[in-house]
This record gives sequence, structure tokens and C-alpha cells, in this order.
Amino acid sequence: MTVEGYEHLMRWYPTQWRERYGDEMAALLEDTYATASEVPLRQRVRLAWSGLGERARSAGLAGWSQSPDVRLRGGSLLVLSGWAFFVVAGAIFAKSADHWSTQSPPSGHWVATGGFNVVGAAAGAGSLIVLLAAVVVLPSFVRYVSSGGWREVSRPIVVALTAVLASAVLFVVLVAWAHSLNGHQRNGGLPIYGWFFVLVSLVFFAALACGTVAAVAVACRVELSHRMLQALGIMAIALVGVMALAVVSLVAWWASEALHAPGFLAQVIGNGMPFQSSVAPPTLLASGILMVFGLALGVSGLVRVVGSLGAGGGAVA
Amino acid sequence: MPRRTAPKGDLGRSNEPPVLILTSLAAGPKHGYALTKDIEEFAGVNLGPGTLYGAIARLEERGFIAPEPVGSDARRRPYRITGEGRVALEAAVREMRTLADVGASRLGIAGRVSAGGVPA
Repeated sequence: MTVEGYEHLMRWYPTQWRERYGDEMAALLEDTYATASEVPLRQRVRLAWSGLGERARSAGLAGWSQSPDVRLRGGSLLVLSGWAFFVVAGAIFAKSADHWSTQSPPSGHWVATGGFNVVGAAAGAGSLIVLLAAVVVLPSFVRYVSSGGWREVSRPIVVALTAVLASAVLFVVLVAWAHSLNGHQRNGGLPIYGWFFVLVSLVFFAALACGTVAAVAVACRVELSHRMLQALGIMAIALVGVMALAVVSLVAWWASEALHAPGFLAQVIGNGMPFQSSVAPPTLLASGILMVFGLALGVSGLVRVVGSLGAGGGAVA
Repeated sequence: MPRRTAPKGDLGRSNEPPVLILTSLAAGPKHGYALTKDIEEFAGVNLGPGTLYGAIARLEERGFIAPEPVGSDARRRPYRITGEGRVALEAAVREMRTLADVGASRLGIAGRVSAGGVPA
């Protein structure tokens, strides 16, 4: 194996790590596997795992030996990633529970109404917090771009903008098409419309994923003061609170509907999908699982943020 | 909120990479390959490159080891243990010694255990 081949195995590690230890590690691999034609697969997998771990550490997503600022940034980004899962879950829930109130009996309606409204309010509040965070980071982003940083972040941003544009165009087409169809056709009566809806949803989710990746790429690179990071940390705490509230409210809505309107959950939600005849239809399950996963990510970020908020800026205590 | 950062001198258990690396470097500076061979010889542990350099980076961050000036081969940089590293290793060795003493005492083999192990 050539020196370049050994160095290629270092690609899993972050750039700074490679600059500091890459040559030494490549030399160690060279010495260890001098007589072998290839580095064993198990060792390659271990290197990939260690490299990804170092990437997580350098981004402040794992480990506690970095400076509080790095941990604050990493914790806030974990919360933002959790929020992305929440947006997907919320979109699935909103579509699944469309017109639920007209198809549920009045008994126990107030719990379901309260739960549903709080989920909606939490979605609005969460979006506002994310928007506010973007506004806080914007001046630093502009400074970063004007000082020549565009090349480093151009790719994820261009990909995200393209995905958002594609998603918007498809959404407009979907809405225009929907206006020319009746209720039965829109709700499973016209299969081609159903498939197009799924396509638009997938493109929307892809756009959301690309947008989150671009936001993380930018937030990892721009220079943010300690005070700014503290402000972002506080917003992240608020966002996790909103996410927790949304999960509790979704559960309340779901439980109330299961008790008072099981027919709505069993026969209406997930119309046209398999395994629908229960109070836990697949779309709602998917939404719930995504929300819980997003909340788990958010809580892991919250732990890092709270553990770093009180500490000073740069130095490791 | 309790801090999750490990105490300054905490190196972990006896078979963990930081202890093994410091123990190896206590005998003199070594580069990556020499470290893995030495550790394999005295502890029977085979540290992979990712694990070894992950631990080296952490030990260097904490000031327990330092890189030596490179000679003709910049890709095989040796490391040495620092004063702080010696203090941390000493604390770890004391802790292991205490544990070994308690174990030997409870097994009824206290006094028969030497630095080289239990005599036959």
C-alpha cells in the first residue's frame, strides 16, 4: 500500500486533526502493515469510527474537554438538528390529523383540542426561535462571507437553496393540481395524485435536511462571541422546552382521540396505507417516533448547553 | 449542574490507553509504532492507531505528554511524559496498588504478591 493510500484512510478525521496527527498515524499504519498488502477491513472500520468521533469532538458534539464555547456551539447545533426532526414529524402529524375535529365526537374534545392547539403553537414558537437564532448569526455570517469564507460553505448552501427552490415549485404545482380535484380524489381516489404528494413530501424533507446541514456548516465556521453563543444557548434551551411541550401535547391529543374517537385514528388517518386498523396508525407512529428522536437529540444538546453556560469563554476549566 | 469533566489527574482504569501510554513513556520517549509494540509487550494490549492517537491527543491537551523535536523523520515524532504526566501516572499507580492490596488481602495472599505477580 502506498503512503497516499494510508493518508487516504485519514479522510474520516477533521482537517485540523489530519494536519496535526495525520502524517504520524499514516506512518504508524505503514509500520504496522508493512508486510501486508492491505489494511484489514476491521481496522479500516475502527479508523472510520474514531475519525467520526474526532469530528464530533471537534464540533463540540461529544466529549467534555473542549472549551465551554465549543460545547455551547455544539450543544446548540444538536438542538437545531433535533428541531429538524420535529419539523418533519410536525408536517406528518398536521397532514394526518387534517380535519380531525369535524370527525371526532364532542366528548373529551377539550383535551384533544387543547393538545392539538398547543402542538400548533409550539411549532410556531419553535420556528420563531430558530428564525431569531438565524438573525443573531446573520451579521457574523456576512462578515465570514465577505472575508473570503464563501468557498468553504458555498456547496451546502447552494445545494440547500436548490432543494428549497425545487420543493417550492413542486408545492405550487401540487396546490394548483389539488384545486382542480374533489375531496375523494385528493384523499386516495386518484393514485397518481397520491404518489405526487409523496414525492413533494420527500423533496420537502430533503430540502429540510439540506437546509439543516447548511446551517450546521455555517454555524460551525462563523466567528461568534461568547455572549452571542450564550444567547444561542438560551434559545436552544427554550427550543427544547417547546419540543417537550409539543410531545406532551401530541400524546394528550392522541390519547384523547384513542379514547373518544378510535374510529378516526383507525379508519381515517393513514387512509390508503397498510396496517391502518388500530389507534396507532403508521403515520402517527412515524410522527411520534421522529418527535421523540428529535427530543432526545435536543435533550443531549441541552445537557451540553446547560453544562457550559455558567463556565467562562475560551479556557477549559 | 455537576461538571462532567474528568478530574485533572484521572486517567481511568489500569488497562485504559492513557495509563498504558504514560506507563510506556515513563521508560523514555517513543513514537507511535514503538509505543504500540511496547504496550503489547508489557500489557498484552494491542492499541489500534485510532485509539492510540485519540489518547495521545487527549494526553497532549491535558499537558501529560509533549512531542519531542522531530529528527530526520518528521512522520515518526516521539513523545515524552511531562512532570504533570508523571504526577498523574503516580496517582493512578497508587490507586491500582491500593486496589491490588485490598484484593490480595481478601484473597489471603497478601505478602506473597510481588511487583511481578503472584508467585507459584
